[in-house]
Amino acid sequence: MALDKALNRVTYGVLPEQLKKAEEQGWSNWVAAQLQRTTDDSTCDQMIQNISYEIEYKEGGRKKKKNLDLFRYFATSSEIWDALKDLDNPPEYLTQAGAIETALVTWTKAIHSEHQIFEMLVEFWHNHFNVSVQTEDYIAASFSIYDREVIRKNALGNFRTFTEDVAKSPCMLLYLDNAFSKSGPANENYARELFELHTLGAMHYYNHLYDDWKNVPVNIDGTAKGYIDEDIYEAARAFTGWTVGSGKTNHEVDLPSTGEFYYYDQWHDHYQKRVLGNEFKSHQNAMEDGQQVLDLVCYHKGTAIHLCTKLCQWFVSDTPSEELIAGAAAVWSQHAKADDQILKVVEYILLSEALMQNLQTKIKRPNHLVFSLARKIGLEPGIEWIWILSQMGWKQFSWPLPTGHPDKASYWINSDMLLKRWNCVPMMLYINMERGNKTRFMDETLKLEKTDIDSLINYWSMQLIGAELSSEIKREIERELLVEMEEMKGQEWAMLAKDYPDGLEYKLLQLVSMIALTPEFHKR
Amino acid sequence: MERRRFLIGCGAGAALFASSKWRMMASPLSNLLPADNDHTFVLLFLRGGCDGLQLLAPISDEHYQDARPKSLKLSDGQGYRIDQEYQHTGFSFHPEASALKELYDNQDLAVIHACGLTNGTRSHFDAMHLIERGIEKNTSGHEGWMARYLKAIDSKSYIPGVSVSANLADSFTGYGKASSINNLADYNLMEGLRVPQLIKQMYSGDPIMGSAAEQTLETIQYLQTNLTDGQRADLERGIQGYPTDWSSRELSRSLQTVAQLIKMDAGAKIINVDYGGWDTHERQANVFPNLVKGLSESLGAFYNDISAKKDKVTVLVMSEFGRRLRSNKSGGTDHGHGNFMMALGGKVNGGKMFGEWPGLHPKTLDRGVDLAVTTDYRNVLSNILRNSMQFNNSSSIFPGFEGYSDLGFIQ
Repeated sequence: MALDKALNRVTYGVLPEQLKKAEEQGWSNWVAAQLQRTTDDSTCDQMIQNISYEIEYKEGGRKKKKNLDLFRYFATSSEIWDALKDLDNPPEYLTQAGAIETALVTWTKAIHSEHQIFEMLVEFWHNHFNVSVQTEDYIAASFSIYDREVIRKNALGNFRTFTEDVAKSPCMLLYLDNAFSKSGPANENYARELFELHTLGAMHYYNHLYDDWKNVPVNIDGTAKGYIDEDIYEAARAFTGWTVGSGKTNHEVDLPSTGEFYYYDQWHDHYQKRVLGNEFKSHQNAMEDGQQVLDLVCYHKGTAIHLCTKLCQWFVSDTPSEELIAGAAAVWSQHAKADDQILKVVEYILLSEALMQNLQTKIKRPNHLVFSLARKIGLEPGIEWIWILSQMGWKQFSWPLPTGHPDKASYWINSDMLLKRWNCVPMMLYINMERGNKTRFMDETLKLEKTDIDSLINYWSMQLIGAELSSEIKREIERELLVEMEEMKGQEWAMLAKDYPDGLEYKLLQLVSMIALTPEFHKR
Repeated sequence: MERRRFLIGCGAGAALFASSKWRMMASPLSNLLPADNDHTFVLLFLRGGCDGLQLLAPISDEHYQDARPKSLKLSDGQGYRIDQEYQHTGFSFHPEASALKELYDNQDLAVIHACGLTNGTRSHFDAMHLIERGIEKNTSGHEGWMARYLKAIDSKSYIPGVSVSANLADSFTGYGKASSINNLADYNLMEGLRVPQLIKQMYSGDPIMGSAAEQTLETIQYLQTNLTDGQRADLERGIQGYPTDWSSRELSRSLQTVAQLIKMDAGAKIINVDYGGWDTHERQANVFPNLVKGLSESLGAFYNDISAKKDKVTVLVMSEFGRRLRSNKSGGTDHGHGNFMMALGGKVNGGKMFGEWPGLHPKTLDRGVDLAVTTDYRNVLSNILRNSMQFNNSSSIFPGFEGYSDLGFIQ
């Protein structure tokens, strides 16, 4: 079995030591160990502690720069709130730091963490429960809380718990407007996306039935197979009053100043409701309406299918088979109330035959492309990655729509995006070199026994894609490398290291950029 | 080896390895003229569900006036009143839409009201999915309607279908020759990596990326050989004659790219442009005026820019649905149903409204809450395909749609 390709599917790039470990343990043991996260990850943790960055921001109309350590990422929500609320106009760096640091931590972990499958899941869930830090200052400021206490906390846990944590998170409450939803007419934004994106999915939307709830098809157990607009209207009513303690106080409102979830009874619509054919009594206890909706949607069969479809698309194929989805959904439902429900489902998917039959069919999204390059040649993330990734269409924590970044190749493969992908690798390498940062090029090249062009091409293609290139492609790369340098044909390139180290480094950069163009490097 | 030779070989800094390979790539196709019909259809998609009832307000309708607070509607005397009533209703353009009103008064802009999907979906993603595939019921596996059209005319043009954005609009799904172009000026491989021949070899036959790679290389080649120095300088100078304020900047940039493609006779048959941000569930009063201003001023500047070619261009402005008549309690409006469409161009019978205005009486509202749809969106698209694009077989582009009628808004 193609273990290296399987690792390439579920990690941000195969490293030799990781492959060796997987070969020793065998695929299923390696997957289990990954999901249990038993491997020591202190090296990565230490790197995270050492993150520092420089940001530019405006203060009093003037541009300023500041060097910061990772100072917000591990802050508690009350520390973040305290820092913000003392100031009428919090300095921009304070609001941006939460988002920037979360991005830097995410990238560092993607590149260095031993727990690669976990990091892939964190990416999955951030997109599934998408929140854009561009929407509100407070979302940006407190985004680390969303990352640590909602997404990472639940990434392998229980979906029902996860969804309630999301529903109560200030980031989601502000992003999908539920924080402002009051009785009569309620704001439908969150409720609609809860059904359509977070749980049942549009595949279970019977929009043509609109208010005809009695005619929605039912499962054998009598539950509705899907939802209609009236379910959304009713659910929106159920979540009225779920807001953020923003400290607003006037004659109408009296919210505590915590920056955390707050249930404000005055805004709640207390009357009876009907969701998915279930009658809710009027005047239920605080938050009971909303929690009842979460029970109904999270334990729904349609949700099992929708979520398992997405997980199979993420790990197996853009078009997973119905059989695989049904198998995963059965595991999902069987463990609906287990603390490790998601872990069980992911393990089922990763150990399926289907995964092995579909290797190298997924397109790496731009962030993945960059991470894998970084893992292979030793690049470290910097704040400029926000811009580089956005050039390629990856908006780190800033995807405006609640759908999250698309997962399928059909979105990512088109002319503009391909061009940007091709250009990104040399651009990142140039930027890195201009800054005087080292990659592994020179050190590794000098260690090689033979450094003629053919050997160099073979070495770096093995590093990047784990295979040699065809002879026609090698010839074309060689021709390109030898432009105006014909004398180097058949020579050992290592001999240039002494007198022309910069030149050699540039040539290696060009070589690696060309190898990184190959379609194989863009797939997983 | 001589040091000098070596340094030439290595180049210096970022201008490294500059050895353009475009000459090698040049093929007889490189100066192809636009094929058959030389009309361009520009679709400007307002993503998120534009509140048509505030952009083009039925101000004389009492149900309208009753349903909304002051900040989310136009009252009498606000905005730009259209001189003549339409089907017994008085309409006004939003106060920030002065350029649109001017285009309307100059008879370049026509409005078709109460258009949309007859499918009642209130989901953005569902609605966009259906519209971009030109269908009415959700069936999987459909290609985009623009893809079907471009396949049907079998265009020989170099870049027949373009999304002016970083990604390809879903309407082009299934058509290998569609291009996405975000910025014409820098649409090229990086210096140091101008290796089209190598890329061509690498991607040839790749099942997932092969055809997109080929189209990318051809688009680069076409643009790099056909963009004049003057045009390139224009693009690099930035937005000339277009509004540059915050609210207009992004759309201005996209429309300027569209104008350049049209002016360089690139042979684009259909161009898609997106303008997002219309999903105003809350605080609509804060954001809506800026969105309208951006739309109105950018579109006005664009029309001015292409004035010499206006008879060869039809722009259609549309959104996936309108918004609810009654506003919610957080200062916004939720997803609705029927909405306006606007057509702009030299072939448009401008200065008029078209379609049937169903009114906002509770009995005529869709599901008792939203503006009803009286004109299927596919009818509007078919009118443009049949008239300005001179393509008669529009029913093959919109399978299952049989309600074609000449709406009269386009010659």
